[in-house]
Amino acid sequence: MTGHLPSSATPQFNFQARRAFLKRAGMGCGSLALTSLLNEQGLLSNAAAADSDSLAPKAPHFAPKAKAVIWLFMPGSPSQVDTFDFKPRLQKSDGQKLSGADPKTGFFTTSGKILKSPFRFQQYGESGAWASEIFPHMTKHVDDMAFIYSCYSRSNNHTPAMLEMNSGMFLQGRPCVGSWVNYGLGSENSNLPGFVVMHGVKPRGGNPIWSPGFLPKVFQPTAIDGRSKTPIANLARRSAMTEKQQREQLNVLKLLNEKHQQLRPHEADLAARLESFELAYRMQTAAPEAMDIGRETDTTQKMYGVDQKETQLVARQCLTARRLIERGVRFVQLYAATNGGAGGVGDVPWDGHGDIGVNHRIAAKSVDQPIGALLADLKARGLLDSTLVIWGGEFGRTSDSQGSKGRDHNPNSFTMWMAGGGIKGGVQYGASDEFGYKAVENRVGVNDLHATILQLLGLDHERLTYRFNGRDYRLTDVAGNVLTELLA
Amino acid sequence: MRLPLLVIAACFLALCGRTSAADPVAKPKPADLKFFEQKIRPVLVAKCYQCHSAKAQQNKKLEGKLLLDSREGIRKGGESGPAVVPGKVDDSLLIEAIRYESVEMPPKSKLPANVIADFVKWVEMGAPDPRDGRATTTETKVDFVAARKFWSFQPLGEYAPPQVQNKDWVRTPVDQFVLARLESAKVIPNNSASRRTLIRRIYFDLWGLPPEPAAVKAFVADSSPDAYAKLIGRLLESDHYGERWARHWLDLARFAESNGYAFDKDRPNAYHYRDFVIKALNEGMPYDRFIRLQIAGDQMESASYMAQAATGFLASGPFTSQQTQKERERSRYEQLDDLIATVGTATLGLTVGCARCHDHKYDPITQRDYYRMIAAFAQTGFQDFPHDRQPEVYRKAKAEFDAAHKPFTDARAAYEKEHLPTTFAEWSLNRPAEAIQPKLSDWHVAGPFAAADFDKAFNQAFPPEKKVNLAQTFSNGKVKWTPQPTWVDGKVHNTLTGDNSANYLFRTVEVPTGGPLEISLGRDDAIKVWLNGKVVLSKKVAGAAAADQDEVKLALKAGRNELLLKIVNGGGPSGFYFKAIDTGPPKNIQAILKLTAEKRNAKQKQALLKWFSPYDEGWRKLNDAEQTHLKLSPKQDLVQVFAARKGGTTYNFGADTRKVYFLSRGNSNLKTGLATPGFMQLLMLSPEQEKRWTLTLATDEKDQLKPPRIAFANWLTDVEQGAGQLLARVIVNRLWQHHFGRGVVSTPSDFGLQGERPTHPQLLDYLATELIRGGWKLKPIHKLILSSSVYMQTGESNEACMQADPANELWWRRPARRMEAEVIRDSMLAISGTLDNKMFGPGSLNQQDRRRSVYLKVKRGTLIPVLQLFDAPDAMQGIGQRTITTVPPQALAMMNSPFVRQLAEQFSKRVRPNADKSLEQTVDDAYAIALCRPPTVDERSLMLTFIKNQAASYGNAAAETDTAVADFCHLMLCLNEFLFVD
Repeated sequence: MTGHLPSSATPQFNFQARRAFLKRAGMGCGSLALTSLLNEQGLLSNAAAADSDSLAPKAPHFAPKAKAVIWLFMPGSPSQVDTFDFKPRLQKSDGQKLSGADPKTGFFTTSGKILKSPFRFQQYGESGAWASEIFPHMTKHVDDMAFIYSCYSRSNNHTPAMLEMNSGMFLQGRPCVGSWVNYGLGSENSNLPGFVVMHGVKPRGGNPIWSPGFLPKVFQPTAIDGRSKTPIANLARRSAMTEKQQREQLNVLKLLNEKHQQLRPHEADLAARLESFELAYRMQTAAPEAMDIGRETDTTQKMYGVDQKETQLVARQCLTARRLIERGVRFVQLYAATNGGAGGVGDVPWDGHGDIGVNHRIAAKSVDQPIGALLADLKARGLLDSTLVIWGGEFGRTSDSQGSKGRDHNPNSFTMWMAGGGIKGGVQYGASDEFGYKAVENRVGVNDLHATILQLLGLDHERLTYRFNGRDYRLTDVAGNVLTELLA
Repeated sequence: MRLPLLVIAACFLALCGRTSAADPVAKPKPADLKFFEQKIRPVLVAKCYQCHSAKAQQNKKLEGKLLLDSREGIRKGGESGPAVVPGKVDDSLLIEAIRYESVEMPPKSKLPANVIADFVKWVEMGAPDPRDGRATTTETKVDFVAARKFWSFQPLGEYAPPQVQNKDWVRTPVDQFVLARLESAKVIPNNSASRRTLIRRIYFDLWGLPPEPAAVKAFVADSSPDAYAKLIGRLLESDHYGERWARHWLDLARFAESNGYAFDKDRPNAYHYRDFVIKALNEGMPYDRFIRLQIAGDQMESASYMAQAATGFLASGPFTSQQTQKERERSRYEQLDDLIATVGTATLGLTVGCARCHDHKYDPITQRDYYRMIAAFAQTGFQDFPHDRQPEVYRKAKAEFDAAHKPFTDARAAYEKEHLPTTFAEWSLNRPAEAIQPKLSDWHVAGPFAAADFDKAFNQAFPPEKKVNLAQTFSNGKVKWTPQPTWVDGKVHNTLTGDNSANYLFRTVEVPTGGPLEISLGRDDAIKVWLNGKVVLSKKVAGAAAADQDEVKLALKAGRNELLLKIVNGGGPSGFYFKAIDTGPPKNIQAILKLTAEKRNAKQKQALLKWFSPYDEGWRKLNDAEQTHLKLSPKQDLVQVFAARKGGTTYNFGADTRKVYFLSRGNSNLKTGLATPGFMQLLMLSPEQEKRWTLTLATDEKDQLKPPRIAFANWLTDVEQGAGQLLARVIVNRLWQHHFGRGVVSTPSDFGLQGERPTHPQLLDYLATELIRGGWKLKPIHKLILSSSVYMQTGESNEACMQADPANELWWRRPARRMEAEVIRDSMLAISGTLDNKMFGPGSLNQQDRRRSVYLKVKRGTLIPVLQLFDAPDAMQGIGQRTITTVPPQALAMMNSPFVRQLAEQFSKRVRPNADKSLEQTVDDAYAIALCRPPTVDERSLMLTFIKNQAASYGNAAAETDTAVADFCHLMLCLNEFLFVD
C-alpha cells in the first residue's frame, strides 16, 4: 500500500468472499447488476441466492401473478354499509331494533337500533358493483376490482386489529405481511428498500404495526413520514461535505476494509459490510430521486390531487408509491391520513364514532381522487397487471348506531377490495347478512387474505416458514385458504 | 365439521357431565331414518367429514379427535364430550358449534338457518342414526420413560476430560473435550492469538468496551505467566462485566419499560429489574438463586430489594392498556402465555408455549402441563409496588419519634378526660335553642400586592397576613382596604386585578357560641385562607374561578371571628367565589343533643365530646401542638418498583380473573375445568412427586400448599429430581454461546427435539456439572472457558481445515464477530472520550445520551434507532440469539448520522486537542484508541495523505485541518476492523 489514493475503486475481494457476501448481506446485496454479472459468469449458485436471511432476489414457489403490492390501509376502518356493501334493509328499517345486535360488539356501547346510511348508493361499471356516492373516482375502476363482502377479524380494538390485519395475529411481535414477502422473495432493487411504509400521523399502535417481528431486521420496512422533509433517516450527507469529499473518504475506507477482509477470507460478514457502504453511497442518490414527485408532470400531479389541500397528502403518497413500484420496490403499504378537518382522530381517521356521514365524507374525500388516479396511472403504464392493489381497514363498523349518527367498531363484517396483480376484475365475493352486521357467506378471515396475497406473489403460504424459538412460524399460522374465486 | 379439541386430562372429561345416555342399539323408525338420510347425512358428508372422519384420521387431518362419520363417534364426541346427546339440544356441542355460539363450525361459513333447524329437530327426535362402525380415536399418551431418553432430558453425565495427544495445546479440561474431537477428525486447531488481539477480544467479550491504550500497553508488557489470568480476574470483578452480560439476559427476558400496543404507556419504575440483573451478575449471585428470585423473589424475601426487583422478569411482557371488555380474558391468557413461553425458553430452553392449543408437536410437553404451569401464576399481576430500601433505619427512627410524640398524645388525652367534659357542659348551657345563623360582615379587599413571580406572590407574607387593620394603607397609600358591600355570596367575582400579585379579602363572622361552619370556595388562581390568624387552606393552583372548588370546615369560636382570604393571580383576570353552607351539628349529634345529659349513654357522650372538641380553645391548642409535632415523623425510604406480585394488576374480567382453566385449543371461550398449579411431567420422576415442591409441612403437621410460584421455583432449580440439571445445561451453553458466537447447542433457546444437537455433549455436561458443583457461580465457568486454548486461538484459516470442517463445528479457529448494537454505540462513546459511567437508575430515550446503552430506556413503540439498526431486539419475545444483518441503512448511519459525526469530532479533539500536535502522532493515537494497535507504515502514510488532501479540498486553513482530522476519525469508526472483533 502506498500513500497514493485510488481515484475510483473496484472491489478486489475474491470470489469465495463475494459469494459468501451474496449469501449473507441484507438489502441490496443482491444488486441486480451484481447478480446478473455473477450469473453471466456462472458463479452464482442457487444455494447462494437462496439464503433465507438476505434480501437477494429469491425464486418464488411458483410463477407469480404480481410482482409488487400497494396496500392502501384505511386506519380507523371504513364502514362497509356506507361504502361498498349496500344494504337496502338499513334504509327501510332505520331506527328500528336490530335483532340479535350485541351492544358490546365495538369499543363503546351501541344503541341496538338500525342506522341507515347517510349516503346515496348506485351501481357502477359493467359488473354493477354497488358503491356509495363518496367515491366518485374510485368507482370508475370497479370492473378491475374484486370485492370481498365477507371479511372478519378477531379484535374490536384498533391496535390489535391492525396487528392482525398486518401479521395475522392480534399480538405484537409477529412479522407483518410486507416483511414476510421480502423474506420470501427478496428485493429487486439494490439501491432502494424492498418494503416501504408511508404514513402521516402514525396509525394507533405506531411502529410495531409494521414490525418485522422475529424476522431478521433486513426485512423491516423503511417508514416514510409523508409530512417530513427528510423522510429517510441519514440519507443526506452533512451539508459541509461535498460528494467528492465523501467519495474520497469512502475510497480510503474501501481500501482498508478490503485489506482487512483479504486477511480474513472466510468471514462472510466482512465482505457484505464492505459492499454495504457502496450501496449506501448509491442510495443517497437513488432514494431521493425515487421519492421526488416533482419530477412528475403537472398533469400527473393534478390527476392525483397533489394541488388540493384535502387530497395532497394521500396524493403524494400514492404517486410516490407508483414511483417506488416502478423502481422495483416490492411492497408499499400506505396508511391514508386525512388532511385535518373533522375527519376523526388523526391516528384513526376513518373512526366514525360520532357522525358517520361527516367523518366518512372527509375521509373519503382525502383518498378517493388519489386512489382513482393511482389505478388509472398504473393501468396506463401497464403496471396494474403486475401490481396488486389492496384497499381496506382493520375491521368494519356496526349496522346499529352509536349515539344517534355514529357507528362503532365491528370485527364481524367488513368489505375489502383488491385489484390488479392477478386479480379477476368485477368479482363480488362473499356476503354479509341483510344488515351488513355479520359476514355469513364465504367468510374471509385475515389468514385467507394473506394466503391469497402470497399466492399472487408466487408463494405458498404453507411453505413460507421461519423458525423462531423452536417453532416454524407462518404468516397464516395454521389456517388460511387461498380465495381462488378471486384469481384471474 | 370440526369441533374443539379439549384438554386431554381424563378427569375433566368426566366433569362435563354429558354422558351418552341414549341406547345406541334401539332401532330407529323408518321415517326418522329418512329424515337423517335426507337432511342430516348429506350435510355431514359435505361439510364435516373432511376433518372429522376415519378418512380424515388416516390423512392426519382429524381435528379435535372428533369423528362424525359413525353413530358411536358422534355420540362419544371429541375430547370436549359428546357432540350429540339424543333429545338434548342444549347439551349437544354440535348444535352449539353450528349455531356459532362457541366454536364456529363449519369454519368457512355458517350453515343456512333451515339446515341448523333440521339438526335441532334431528337431535330433538333422538338423533336417529343408522351408521354403525366404531369410533376409533385414541388419546395420545406421552410415554415419558421413552421421552426422557432424549439427550437433553437425560441426567447429566459424569465425564472425565478425554485423553489427547497434543498435550501442549491443552490449557484447561475444556480444551481436552474440544481437542479430542479435533484429533479424531484430524483437524489441527490454531495457536493462541497475540496479546493485542486477546486483550481486545476479552474486553469486548466481558465488558463490551474497548481497552484503553494504557491497558493494552501494560498487558503486552506484562511478562508474568499469570498475566492473562489476572486480566480475566480484573475484568470479571469490574462493574462493566454486569453491564455487558446483563444485556444478554435482558434479551431473553424481553425486557422493556413500556406496555407496548396503543399509547405504549411508560413503566417508569421498570428499570429496577435491569439494575437487579446487573447487580446480581456483578455480585456473583449463584445462578439457581438468580432464577428463584425472578420467579418468586417477592414471596421468598419480602425485605430484600434484590428479591423484590427480580420478579420484573415476569412483569416485563407487553400489556394492552386500551382494552375492550371482550378482549380482557383472552388478553390475560396471552399474558400468561407470554410469561410461560419466556420462562420456558429462557430457563430450560423448551418451547413450552407450543403446548397451549394442543400437546407439543415434538417435545414431550402436554397441554395439561402447560395449563398447570400457568396456573402457578394465576394469582400474579404486575404493577408498581413501594419498597422500603432501609427498613431498619425507619424502624429505629420511628421508635424514637413515637417516644417523643407520646407526651403530646398524652396531654391531649388527659385534657379530653379532665377538662373537655366541663367546657362542653358550659357550652351546652349557653347554646341557643335555635340553629345559629353566623353574622357575616361585608367583604373588604386590599391589593394588588405585586411580586416578582407567581411563586413569590404566593409565598410572600404581605402586611395583611400579619395583622388585619382596616384603617391601614399600603404602598404609600395607593393600596388600602376597600369595602365591597355589593359582593354577594354564592357568585364568582372576577373583579380582582394584577399579574403575579396577591389580593387580600377580609370579613368577620360572628356567632354567639362556638361551632362549626362549612364554607365553599373558588379561586383564580391560587388561594390561602386564615381563620383567626391560622391557616386553614393553602392551594397553589392555577386556573379560572368556579363555584365549589374547595370546601373548608371552619371551627368558629364564640363571638367575633376573622376570616382572611388571599387570592394570588398569575396573569389575566382574577377572582374568587364564597358561600357559607348552613351547618349545624350533624344529624346524629343533634339527636344526642336533644337528650338530656342524664339520658346520654357513654358512647353518646364520647361522640358528643369528639364532635365538640375542635370548637374548644384548650383542646385545639393541644391538638395543634400534636399535629405540628406529627409532621416531624420519619419517612420511609420508599422506592416504587415495577414487578410481579400476588394480587397485582392484570386484565380484570370478573370472578375468573385470577383463575386458570384448561382451554380447548387455547380458546378462552372453551373452558374445560379449573387448573391447579403443577409442573412439567417430563422433568420429574413421577407425577406424585409434585408434592415435593407444592406442599409444605406446616406446624400442625398437616400438609399445606406452598405459594405456587415458590413451588415452581423450587422445581425449576431442583437438581436432584426436578428441572435443575437441564437448567444448568442451558445456562452454561449460553455462556459458551456468548463467548464464541455459537453455543455447543446452536439453538440456545431450544433444547427440544426440533433444536440442534450439541456438537460437544460431554463438554456441555462437564460445564453444567462444574457449575452445580461450584454452587451455581457463573464467574468460575467464565474463567474456565476464557482460560482455554480454544478461546484464545487465532482466527486464521487454512484450506485443509476448511475442507475438513468448513462450518468450524469443531472449533479449530476463532471467527471474527461483529459487535452487537450496544457495544458499537458504547465503543464509539468510549473512543470519543465522552462515555458517562454512571450506573443504574432511570434511563434516557435519547440515543445521544452519554451513558452505556444498557441504560437507554426500552420503549416498545419507540425503540432506539441506532440500536435497532444493528439488530437489537424489539422486546416482544425472548431472544436467545440475535440475528446479525448487514444493510445499507447501517452504513448510512455510520456515514451521515449527526450523532456519529459528533462522536467522530469528539474523538478527533481527543487525539488532537490542539494544532500543535503532529498529524503523525494523531494518526498513531487514533489507531491505538480505536484498534488497539499502531498503524503500519503504509496505513500511516495513507491516512496522512487523506488528511492533507481532505484539508486542501476544504480550503487548507487551520479549521479545515480540524475538519479533515474529524473526517479521518469518522473513517476510523466505519472500519470493519473497528466493528469486528477477532
